[in-house]
Amino acid sequence: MNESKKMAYGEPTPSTSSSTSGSGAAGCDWTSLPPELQELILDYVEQKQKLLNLRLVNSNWKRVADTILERRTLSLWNSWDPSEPNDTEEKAECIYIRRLVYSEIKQEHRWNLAITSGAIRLRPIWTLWEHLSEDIVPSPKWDHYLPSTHNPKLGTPFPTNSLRVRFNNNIWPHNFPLKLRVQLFQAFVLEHSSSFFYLSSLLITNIQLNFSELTTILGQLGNLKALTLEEIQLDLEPRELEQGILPPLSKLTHLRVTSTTSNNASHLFVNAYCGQLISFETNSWIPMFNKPYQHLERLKLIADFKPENQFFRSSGPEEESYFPVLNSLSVIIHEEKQRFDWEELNRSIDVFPKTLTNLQLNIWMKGKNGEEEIESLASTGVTFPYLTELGISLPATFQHAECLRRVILPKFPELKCIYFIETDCVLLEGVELEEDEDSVEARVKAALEEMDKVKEMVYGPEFVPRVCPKLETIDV
Amino acid sequence: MALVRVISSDGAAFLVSQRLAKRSGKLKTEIETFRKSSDNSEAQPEIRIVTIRAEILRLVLQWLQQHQNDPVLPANQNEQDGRGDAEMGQSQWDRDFLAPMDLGIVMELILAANHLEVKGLLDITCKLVESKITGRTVDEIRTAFKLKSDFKGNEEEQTRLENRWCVEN
Repeated sequence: MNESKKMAYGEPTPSTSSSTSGSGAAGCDWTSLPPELQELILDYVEQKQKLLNLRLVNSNWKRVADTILERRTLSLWNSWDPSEPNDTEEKAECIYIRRLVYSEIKQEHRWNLAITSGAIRLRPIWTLWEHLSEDIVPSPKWDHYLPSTHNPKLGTPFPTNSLRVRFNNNIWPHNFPLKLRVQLFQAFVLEHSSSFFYLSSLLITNIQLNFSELTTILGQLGNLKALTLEEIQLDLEPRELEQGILPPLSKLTHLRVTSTTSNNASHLFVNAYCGQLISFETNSWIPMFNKPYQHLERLKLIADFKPENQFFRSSGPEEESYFPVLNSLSVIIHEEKQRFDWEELNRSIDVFPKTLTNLQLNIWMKGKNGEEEIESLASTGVTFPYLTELGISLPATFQHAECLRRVILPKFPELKCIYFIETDCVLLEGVELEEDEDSVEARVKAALEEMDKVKEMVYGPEFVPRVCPKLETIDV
Repeated sequence: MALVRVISSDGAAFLVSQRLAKRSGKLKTEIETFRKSSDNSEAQPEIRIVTIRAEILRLVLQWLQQHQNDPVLPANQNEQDGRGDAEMGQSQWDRDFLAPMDLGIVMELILAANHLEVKGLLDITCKLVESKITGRTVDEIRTAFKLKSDFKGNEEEQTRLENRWCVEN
């Protein structure tokens, strides 16, 4: 041991060591580091404000800082979060708060980037509407101006190459016409189109758009890699929905569209970009069977599609090739009218692509099945050879737990991690409106008690691990 | 004990145990390549590192020696963070090890740690540079890194304006 320590590193052998001393090369300077190491080093600066400060050192540091800022912002789209997003304004607020809490616990800089990167508040140009008096201008704090000149050599005027435009209701005066907001924004985009061309990510919330406004804005965004349109209200003619062509965005790989209108607006986006997307999230989706998603790795579908329209379900095994590299799928269906029964779920899962490694099924199930129905349920023998992570609604009754164990879990022999998703929705079928309160209350109480017992059971060592021997984690 | 001869750019040779050398990803690959190409399994590998001079190579080996029993950090531990566990290896020994070095040496060490694929050393040296950046003004940073502003005209003021865009409210 002693000897090995001595031998582990030795003095330079005398033969050729003369040149080491007096070489004068005491260290290297910043400019001799390759760009990837410069990025690596400055990436250790966590606080965004400090990174922004580094942009002032010189043009090289500015470029490096910008690269890091852009990458960090894009990671908001790159990372997989299977959970349910905000799909109403009320919930948006809720997400807002939840994310803040999340980041305070974990990583503060994440939060800062998440919500504030390149944030822009558009201050309405009041002079155009002279009848609006000055005293209703909400606050001077939104009074940012885009830097007026732009030097391509130094990059973009948006340090993160990211822009987030929130059309918050509270920044507009009372009765401010909804339609005028987007016209203001459109004018702004056009006026600064050379700057918008550099954007790599854009998030727009709470906006009402028609087809021509949408194409005009997207048309300026030639470098866009990630796009989120949240809570947008798209006013589309049926003809535009069917045949409308969005401008090409050759670098776009991450897309989130949540629309408040029921006209399946994402159809437009699928038509234009499905072949290039890596991740896609939407709350309205018309299945399109002639469109392959060669590069799609992560897909998140939220509510409001009917089970009979479901993309995977109605497709045969040969459809799998439309998703050759899909590894993460999240399906969120919280519709009282669309509760699944177990047979349905059983068959639905079977047609999912077998390339999946991560599956999240946040689906409300129907209540008690008939005894015979449960008896006739059989495992289909279809398995997912790569799937290691499963999220699934926590069974509400012993029957559900039994269905889960007998039919669903055997599909995932490689499962390492299971998340049970708790819902606060209690299953009470057959409750009549005229029933007296006491008996309803008693039934709620009984249902809750059963849920508690089921919970205890599924978390036990006998339940999942018996079916999935490789299981390592059970989590909420 | 199997040894390997590691030779710096300026010709200094270091005799190192292979077990220790293999804690550098680069040297590990080189040793394995040598094994495959050599008929004599007893032959002592000789590896020339043409980009690293003796003084720096010695520091790397010294650090490896001190940390020879640490768990090896995976090369790209966390894609999202881009950095491993910075706390690991930040021992008193490391602080004493780094303390006398000036920034130029540290940066040369970063180059070497990167080239030799020694994640732990790369991590603490980058962290050290970061500590020389945060909390300093732009001018102090320029002085410390011997940099000159190459902004022309109002470009610096322009950049300052751009930064305002990133600050909410």
